[in-house]
Amino acid sequence: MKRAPLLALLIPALACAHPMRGVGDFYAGMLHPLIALDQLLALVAIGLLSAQCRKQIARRVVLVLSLAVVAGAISFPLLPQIPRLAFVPLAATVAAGVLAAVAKPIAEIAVVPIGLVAGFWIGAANAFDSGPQVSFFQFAAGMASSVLLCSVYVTVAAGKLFTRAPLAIRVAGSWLAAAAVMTLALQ
Amino acid sequence: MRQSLLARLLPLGVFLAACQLARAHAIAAVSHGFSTGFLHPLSGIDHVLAMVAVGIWGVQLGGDAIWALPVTFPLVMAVGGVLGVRGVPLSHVETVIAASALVLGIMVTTGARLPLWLAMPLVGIFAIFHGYAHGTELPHAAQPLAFGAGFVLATGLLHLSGISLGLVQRWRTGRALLRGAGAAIAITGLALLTGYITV
Repeated sequence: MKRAPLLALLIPALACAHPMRGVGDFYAGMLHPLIALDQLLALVAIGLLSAQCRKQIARRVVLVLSLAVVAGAISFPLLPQIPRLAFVPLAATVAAGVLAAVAKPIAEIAVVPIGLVAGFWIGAANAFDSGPQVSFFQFAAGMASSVLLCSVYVTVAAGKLFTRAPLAIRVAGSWLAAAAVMTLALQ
Repeated sequence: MRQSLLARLLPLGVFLAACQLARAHAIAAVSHGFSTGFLHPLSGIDHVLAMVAVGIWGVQLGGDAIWALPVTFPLVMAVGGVLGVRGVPLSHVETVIAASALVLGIMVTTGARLPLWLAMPLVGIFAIFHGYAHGTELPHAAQPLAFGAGFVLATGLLHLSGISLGLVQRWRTGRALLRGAGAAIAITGLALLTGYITV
């Protein structure tokens, strides 16, 4: 009897995963930072770096990143040239990756500013791409949510790995930085 | 009454079976760029042998060399990559890459224990030339960042393979096998250098 509701899920139509009417813009906002490889790698690199820092710093980075995304989204009409600075997420990846590779205490000072700049750019660039037909509030909320979730997941996973194999984080940081450096050379 | 594991997982299984398939459309350009980049180091025997030899030699050197190489090599290689992207003229690239297989193979065969301050610059010079070769391909890639991420990952995995192989040196037979592998790498490097084999 307890499983009856679950058995109802055997009817496939009930399990259709279609976005609810009116919240498609939220999902669009969620996906935007995750399907742009430069932005995703920047979030991963910042997550790796914050995993090497103290928990208070890591929590601050996650919060600053998400708030910076919202601030960037709100600011883009005032600063229309920001999204054109396409080197910003790559530069953030290089900075965070190199700092993760060297694993020095300077990481705790640098990680919050890097997160702030990267988050602000992500918010501005994606808001610029969204277009007038999209609900701004839902789009920005979706972006902030996905950046928050992504940074939390990466930081927690990297933190667990850091306690067992700190070298793995350093190697991953150097790989990310190397890929970003070469792509920056094309800018 | 405690439920068995099967009983606990059954509702989850029913739920998953009832949902529509999750259609994961890959973003074509990114996946193509990544796969092309990933295959780039693997498609050249000279790259493969040199990268594996770097990993093995790092283990033979021991100490800081084991971590220093996989952490710093990609970054130094990126410098070479930038030179390649920018079209900075660099001569005899393929010759130096072939020579890297020869030299690193000799290092592995002899188990040469150079001091780190000497070993790192030697490997660094080779890293720049290897990176240069990859960097010249980057501007032609549909998705440069995906291409770069692919070949950095492939290079890193080759290093890790070399490090894993190098761990057999704790046994006497393992040390002999490593020296044999080093000799094979050096001979192949010499064959590439002399043109007996071409890539």
